[in-house]
Amino acid sequence: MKGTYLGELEELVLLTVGILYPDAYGVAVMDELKQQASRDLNISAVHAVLTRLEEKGLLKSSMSDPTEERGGRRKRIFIITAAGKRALEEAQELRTQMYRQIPKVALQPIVVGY
Amino acid sequence: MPTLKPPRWADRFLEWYCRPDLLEEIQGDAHELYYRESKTSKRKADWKFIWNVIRFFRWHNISKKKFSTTSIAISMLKSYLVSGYRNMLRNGTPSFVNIAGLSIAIACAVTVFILEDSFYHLDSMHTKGEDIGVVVNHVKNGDEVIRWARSPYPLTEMLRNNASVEHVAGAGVLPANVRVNDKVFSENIMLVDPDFMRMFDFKVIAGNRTALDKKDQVLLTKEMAIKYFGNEQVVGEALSIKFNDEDKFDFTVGGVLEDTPANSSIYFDFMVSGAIWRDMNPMAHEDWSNFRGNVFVEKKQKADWQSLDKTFAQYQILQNQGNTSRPVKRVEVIGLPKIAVESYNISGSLSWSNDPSAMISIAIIALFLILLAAFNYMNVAVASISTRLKEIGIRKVVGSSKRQIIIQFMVENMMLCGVALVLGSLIAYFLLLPAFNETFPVKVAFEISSWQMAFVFFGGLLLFIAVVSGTYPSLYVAAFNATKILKGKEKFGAKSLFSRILLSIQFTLSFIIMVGSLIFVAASTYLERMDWGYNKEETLLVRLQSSRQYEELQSLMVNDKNTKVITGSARHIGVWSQPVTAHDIDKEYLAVMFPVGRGYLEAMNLRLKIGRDFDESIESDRTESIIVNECLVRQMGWTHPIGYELMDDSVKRFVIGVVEDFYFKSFFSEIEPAMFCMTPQENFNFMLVKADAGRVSEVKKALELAWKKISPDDPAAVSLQSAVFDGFLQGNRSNNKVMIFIALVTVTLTTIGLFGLVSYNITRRLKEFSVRKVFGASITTLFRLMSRDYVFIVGIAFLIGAPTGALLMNLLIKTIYPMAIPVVAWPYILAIGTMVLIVGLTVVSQFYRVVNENPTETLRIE
Repeated sequence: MKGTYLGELEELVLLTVGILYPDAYGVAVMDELKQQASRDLNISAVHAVLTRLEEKGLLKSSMSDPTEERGGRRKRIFIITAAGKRALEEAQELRTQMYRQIPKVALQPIVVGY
Repeated sequence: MPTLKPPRWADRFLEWYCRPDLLEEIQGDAHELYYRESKTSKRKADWKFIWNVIRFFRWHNISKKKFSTTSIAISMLKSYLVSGYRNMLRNGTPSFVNIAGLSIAIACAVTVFILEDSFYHLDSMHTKGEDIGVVVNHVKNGDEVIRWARSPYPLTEMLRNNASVEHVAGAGVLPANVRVNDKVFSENIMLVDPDFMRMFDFKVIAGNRTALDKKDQVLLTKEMAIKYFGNEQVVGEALSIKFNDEDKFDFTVGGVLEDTPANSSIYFDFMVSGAIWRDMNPMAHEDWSNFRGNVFVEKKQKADWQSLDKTFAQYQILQNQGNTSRPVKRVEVIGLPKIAVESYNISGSLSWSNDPSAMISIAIIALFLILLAAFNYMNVAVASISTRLKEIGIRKVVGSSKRQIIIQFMVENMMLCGVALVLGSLIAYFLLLPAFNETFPVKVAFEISSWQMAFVFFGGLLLFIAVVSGTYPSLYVAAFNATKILKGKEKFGAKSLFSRILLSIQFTLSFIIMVGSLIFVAASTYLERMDWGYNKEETLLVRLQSSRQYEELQSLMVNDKNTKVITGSARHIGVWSQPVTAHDIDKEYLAVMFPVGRGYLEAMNLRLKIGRDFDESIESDRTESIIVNECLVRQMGWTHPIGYELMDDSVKRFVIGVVEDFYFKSFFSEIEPAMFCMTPQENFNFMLVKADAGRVSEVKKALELAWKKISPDDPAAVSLQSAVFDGFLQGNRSNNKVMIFIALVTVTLTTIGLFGLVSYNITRRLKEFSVRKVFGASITTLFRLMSRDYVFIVGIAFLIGAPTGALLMNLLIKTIYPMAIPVVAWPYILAIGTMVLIVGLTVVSQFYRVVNENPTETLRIE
């Protein structure tokens, strides 16, 4: 069902919002994603993901004070909700759990011999 | 505050579409990014901003309020379309006629567009086209400089040594007889250097693309494979090609090519290696003086054409030394995409050419037809509004704004134009383009070079027609006063000056096209009947393959009682002419030389003006006498031509006679200086037989019979001298057909427009006529009243349109045919006659309503 699990990009954005607390807004998220995950996203894509996460109840937002560099416009500041925090933890847990199930051999470096 | 501002229109666009509750953050982010970016580059920041605005244009971000008005607009649109459709059905015949007229005009425009588009995108299928070009020499010839696509043979080798050249290939065409077992036909053989097939992307369907690397291999097209072998699987088969008696070669088929594509300007049936040329002319590699094949060059991708200049400079020096009479002054390379378009003023190009004036004039004619149809439509639309006054009044009362009424009429109009566009394209696809391909030797597919082009053309055409035909009617309707309409007081189109002007413009356009096309027809009819400078009807022509054939044929024919003269020639009027340099003491010209046998002048019925014919018993006649044409005398400026000395290339000649000018090339070129000299029988390539008057077909049969006896394997080669320009005359007749078609379309469109207008006008004035009838007006009076307007308008239109059409068409004719063509009256008479007839018939056909109506019926209503 749609909305019950986190997509990879959604997870990254959610994490970024957490990292940037309490200054997470569109442009900042975009910059951080570029820096940390080398993801080159268009600002509209970031907005779309943020909106989607807010609709899922994983983020909530409020308007900031006006800033000069934006021509006196306000920013929409996002913060992670309790549900968002839980979703992140679940995702993390699922990963570690599944990672542990991989047999040791499969992870050993493969040597192609002469 | 940041000083730089993002592009205003993009910002406004964002504000327009964006949901108000999201606008602040989205615009804020966009601006923030913009200021950051603009610190490095304003241009880049602008583009990025625009890009972001476009990317933000998502369903989620788009204003919901706007959407709701859009949905109203959509339902209104639907209502307009439905009422337009119903209206169209109600006015069945007039709307059908109208759409039909518009469709015909659109069909013409679509066809013309496809022709033009295909012409300007010839040769676009070669992937390396951008890097390929043909060498064009600017050659000084007498006082003028001409562009020649032919270059000396060794130039290819010289270019090959230039480091910027990837490939180079010389290519030329020679006539020859191709033979497979007992199948023998005359063909044009293309001699190309092997790299030709590495440069161009002509498709090979069997065998080897690089077969020509071996000089005993031949490439031929599928069509030729089937013609000679009956199937396409012919790789490895043998055939022989005979260029002349000494040069006969055996070849193995190395590959089969797809038939020359329709969008290729270079045409071929057979290709053999250019090395064959070396076999035929052992000194070819150092012959810098003669211009031979076209030279195609492919430069290395990164190189530019300038890097060839050094080689060209070197070549120019060698050429200028080798040929002092026709030195190359400048060398240019014309890129492949432009060759077909420019070939019309390049001599000797392998690429077929088309005069741009023809392309421009058909485009103009198509535009005129579209305008004519659009004006027709507009006139009828305005007139037909009378039946919809109530609807408009009610719409206005209910609350339609002026703008909405305008939109309604524009939408309806757009719909009709859309229908016409579809119908027109279908007509073009099923009728016009196939008819065109049937009429002309070229084949054009119903294709458009790119979808962008198609989009721009069809979209643009629809918009253009819709705007031209719809603007006035919809503005006109929108301006009505609702109360007046509903009270029935709106005086509608009583004697609108505008509609008269429009009708005049329409008739003027019709006259321009009609007179123009009829003048063209007159000119080409004149050409068809023109005196060729000799009597062509009694002479038969045999193309010989060897001089042995001449002797044998002569011995068979000499006793034929219907034959008057038998002679021969090495080159022949209308078939093969070759220029030599002729120089006087101080003047020098290119003149065509015909080496002929005794009695040639008589056999051809050439008219001797001064002097005498060749006499075989005079020794000097055989070696140094020449007979020249009047044109040469004029150019040399001689007053008493007999006895003048002339050098032709290296031989000294004396003039013994002058003949009247005659046409020996197509009529597209002016008559050039020409000379005759005597040549012995063993040089004959042609035999000429003059028959007794009225006995031509008998002699032809006898010749064919004799030919079969002496040369059973060679293709029959007997033809009439009067047929030598058939190719040209065929083209001329095709042009004629097109022009007559255009004239007919114009007449049809005019009739359609007039018919609609007259029938509405009669409806409008029915009451007036009834009153007149009650007071005793006679039928003739009524008729005069009704047609007076039209006669006046037709008169004015003729006075403006006929001279304009004549002027335009004469400009075109002058660029096509160099000779003066006499002015005749019949195109004008026919044009005005047709128009008067159309107006008369249309008025009469509607006039029965006035005659038959009962005044009491008409006047009682209300």
